[in-house]
Amino acid sequence: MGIDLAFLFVIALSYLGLLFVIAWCTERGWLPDRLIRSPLVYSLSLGVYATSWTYYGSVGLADTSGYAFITIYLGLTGAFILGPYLLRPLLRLCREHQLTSLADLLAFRYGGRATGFAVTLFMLFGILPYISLQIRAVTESIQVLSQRAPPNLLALAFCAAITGFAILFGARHLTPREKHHGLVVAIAFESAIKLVAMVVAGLFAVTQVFDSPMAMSQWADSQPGMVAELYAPATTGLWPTLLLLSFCAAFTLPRQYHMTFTENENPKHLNTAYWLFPLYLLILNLPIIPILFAGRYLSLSMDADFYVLGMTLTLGREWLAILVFLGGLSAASAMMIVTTLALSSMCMNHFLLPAALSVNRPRDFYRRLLWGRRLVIAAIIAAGYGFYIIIELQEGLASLGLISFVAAAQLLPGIIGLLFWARATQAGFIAGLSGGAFVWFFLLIMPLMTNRFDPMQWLSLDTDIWTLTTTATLSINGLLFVLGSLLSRPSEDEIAASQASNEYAGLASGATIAQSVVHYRYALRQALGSEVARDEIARALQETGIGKKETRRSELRVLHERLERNLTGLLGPTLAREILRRQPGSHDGLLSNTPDARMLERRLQTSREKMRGLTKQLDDLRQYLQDVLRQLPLGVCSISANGQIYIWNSAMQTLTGIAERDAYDKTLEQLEAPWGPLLADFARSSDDHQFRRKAFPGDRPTTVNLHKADLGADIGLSAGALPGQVILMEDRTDLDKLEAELAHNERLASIGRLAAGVAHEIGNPLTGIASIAQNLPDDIEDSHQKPLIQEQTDDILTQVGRINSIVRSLLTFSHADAVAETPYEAVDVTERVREAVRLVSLSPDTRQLNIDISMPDSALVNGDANLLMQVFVNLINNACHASPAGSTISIQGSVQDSTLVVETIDQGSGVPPEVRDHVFEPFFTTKPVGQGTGLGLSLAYSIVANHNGRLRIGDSEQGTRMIVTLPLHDSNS
Amino acid sequence: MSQRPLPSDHSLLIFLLALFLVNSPLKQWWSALQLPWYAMYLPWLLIIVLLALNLRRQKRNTDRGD
Repeated sequence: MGIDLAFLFVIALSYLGLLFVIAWCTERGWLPDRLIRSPLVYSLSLGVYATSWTYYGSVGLADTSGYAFITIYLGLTGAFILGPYLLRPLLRLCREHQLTSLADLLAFRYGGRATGFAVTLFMLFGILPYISLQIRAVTESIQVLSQRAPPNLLALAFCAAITGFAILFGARHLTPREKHHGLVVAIAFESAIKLVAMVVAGLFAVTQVFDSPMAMSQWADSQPGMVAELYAPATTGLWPTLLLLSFCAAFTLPRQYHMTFTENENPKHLNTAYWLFPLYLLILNLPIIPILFAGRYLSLSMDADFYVLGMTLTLGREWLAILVFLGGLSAASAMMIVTTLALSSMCMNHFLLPAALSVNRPRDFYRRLLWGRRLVIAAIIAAGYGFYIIIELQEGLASLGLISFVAAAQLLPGIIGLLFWARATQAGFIAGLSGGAFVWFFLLIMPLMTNRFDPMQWLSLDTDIWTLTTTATLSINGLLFVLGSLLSRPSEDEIAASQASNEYAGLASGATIAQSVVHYRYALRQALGSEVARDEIARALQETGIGKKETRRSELRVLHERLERNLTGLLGPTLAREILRRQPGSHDGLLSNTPDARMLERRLQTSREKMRGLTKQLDDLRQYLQDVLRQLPLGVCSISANGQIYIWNSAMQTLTGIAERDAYDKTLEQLEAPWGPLLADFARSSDDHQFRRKAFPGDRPTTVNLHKADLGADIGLSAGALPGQVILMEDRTDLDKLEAELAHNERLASIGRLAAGVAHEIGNPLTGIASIAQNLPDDIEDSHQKPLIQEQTDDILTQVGRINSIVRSLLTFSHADAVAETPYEAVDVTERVREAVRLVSLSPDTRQLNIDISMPDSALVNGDANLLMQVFVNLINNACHASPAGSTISIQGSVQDSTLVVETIDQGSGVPPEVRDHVFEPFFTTKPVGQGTGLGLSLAYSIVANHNGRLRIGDSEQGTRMIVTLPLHDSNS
Repeated sequence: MSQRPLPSDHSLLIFLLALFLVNSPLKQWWSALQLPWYAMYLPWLLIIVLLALNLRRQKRNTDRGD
């Protein structure tokens, strides 16, 4: 007694309605985000692999080929064990370059439209039997349950519901680059239903059909050779063939690619899936043998594919039959939805869009794209339905599934080349795929279409059809792939894609020749219309943080890469590349052949964690040399052959005040003055060295030495290189100051030596003159003349006294350096200052002045007490002379760190700026002639310098501020 | 440079073990052993357990910052 057909129809529609609700709730955010984005949901969604073939067909395959059915899952488990080598790199490529389908992936690696077209076309044909298998499984399961032949209308309704779901939740977004969370959760839910239904069916078989596991085992053992027959296929050729086919299916079936890579939310989820998904498959397959045993035990007179339904109906458990039916419906619908989505993406990117964009520039591009996708989805499901109607399928479910597996396996050589063989080319790939596809069609599809052709009879080979076709197709495919690749040369795009595939992230490394963002907007508008151009440029600018007015080529190169990735997600890699090549007035595109060194550097930086072995060591060395260059205390600037700055190290930034990001990619002329013109002039000149070039950035005059060298082509990067120049800039401003100071000191020393000689030479005759002058009045006997003579003699002696004073000053000055050789002792400067003030106060000039002393109680320095007092006497004397009557002279002392600072501040007219630089020079004085020797300050300067201190003129609003800095006495020294 | 094997290296080892168990001349031997019907699932389960342990170790190393 069967279940009512209408009831089943309602159940099926209600279940699909539930899927709608789940997907809808997910899209609306009504389900917890933690659940939606969990690795469990991701792993369950991979359960789309288990279609109605697994669900129903595994029992059928077990019936005919024993445990051969398990290889369909063991092979896939193998692919997941090798996930770090196979799935992880593919996921990285898919995410980084937004390759949303297998055709995109292969077209990315084997550049050109032909690859995408060939893969899409072959996948369409290859997968159609699989889609028709799902329709057939659903209709046959209904037939078993209702015990009536369902009308084709039922299959059509099923297809219509699936189409509606795929359109609503799979083509919900404008582009395939967005994730479809609703779809993923719905597929995961379907996987859970499949698992529950199969496990419950298995438990039912064990406990209800056989009473207990022991009873089942005893019955199985009692059947002669039955269990042994299960293991027998392990030694046949079919075993490794199925292992290989299912291994390939993990990444060559469009639906697996879509769920594993395109819909992957978080790469870390793949780690969980490595073990959780195989565990899911194991549990799903555990009930297969008990169900087979139950079917045989009950002697069900039906195809073994549907034993699972038959046993429940036979024992009158209709509720279980419906649960099992829903599991089968889940398996079929999930496969059809995901497969059509994956195929629709391929068809759009590699059939429709290239054709549409070559005709005219579309208006309302996004909307057309969306509707195009929806129509393609409907067309693919309709084609599957047509295949189901037209082709008279006599084969079992497993056979239909395997036809598609063999088809998908034809992408294996291409994937291997993509991951591991840099020399592989488009010509080789297409040759291999065409050869494999031809043999596949000849051996597997032809017999489906006509019963008169049986290749096994024709070839008279002692093997099964699957081993024959798998071996033949893959051998021919692989051979043509290798031969074609070796006989052709990889294009620039292929070399770049191969580097991105085999090594680290990144597309072509050529520098952009676009001058501004406008170039890209123009290129996009030409191909996709102004709306798309505006949106895509805005999106890329936002993602990269680049400004609309950016003109630096390094930044435009980043924008180029981002645009290419985004457009790849929208249109596929082939069209994306082509569009970005539509450079006005040029056929070369927006990228030149010259590598963009900064782009390479960025990629190396982002890929460092992935490097190992020699590559890692070389990169460490590169990093080390780069650090050396960056931290070199010498300005380094390298410019490429076209005059653009590539290196601008930190010393250069400090010296010029121009940040690296502002200098990079500009020409020297574009740098701000004075550095731009200075460096550009030097770069153009024939001199390799220029010394003491003056520049005036701001208030501070700067002196630099410049050196340059031409960079040889051998230092450049491959294919184009960056020859040019390296310029070194050495700041010698401080060095010049030091040299000036040394020269000044030397001059002082020379003057000192000169003064000592002069004083010595003048001293002796002066003594003679003084003696003679003193005796002169005594020698005059005329009493009338004597007063006059006495007066004149006094004048002479006064003048001699002045000369003597000058000579003493000269001698003191000349001996200032020599005194430094006498041992120093701790001197209390506060005491010396007070003593100096007391001495100066004796002078009548100071009587109308106030001297305010604010010194620390004690301030010990290493030095000579008399010389230090001489310093303060000179300074206070000068202050007294400069101060107006009634004013105050302030003497302030303070201890700062390990130095003593003493300032004398007067309220005079101050030191004019034009004489500031000369006040410490010997014989320089601003006093009227005859009132100063001009040696006081220079003497003080020398004494302080000999005490390792410094005497300078400080800034003051009024008067003069003389600052003496002396190191404090260190009791330890 | 660390010479310690990475979890991916262990994956390779597990793959070879799996290959040895299910698709080597060894299968001639075990297929003739009159094994119970469920025996086929045991090596599969073993491989999954090894995979899970390997991944757990990788996660622990990552958390530790190795």
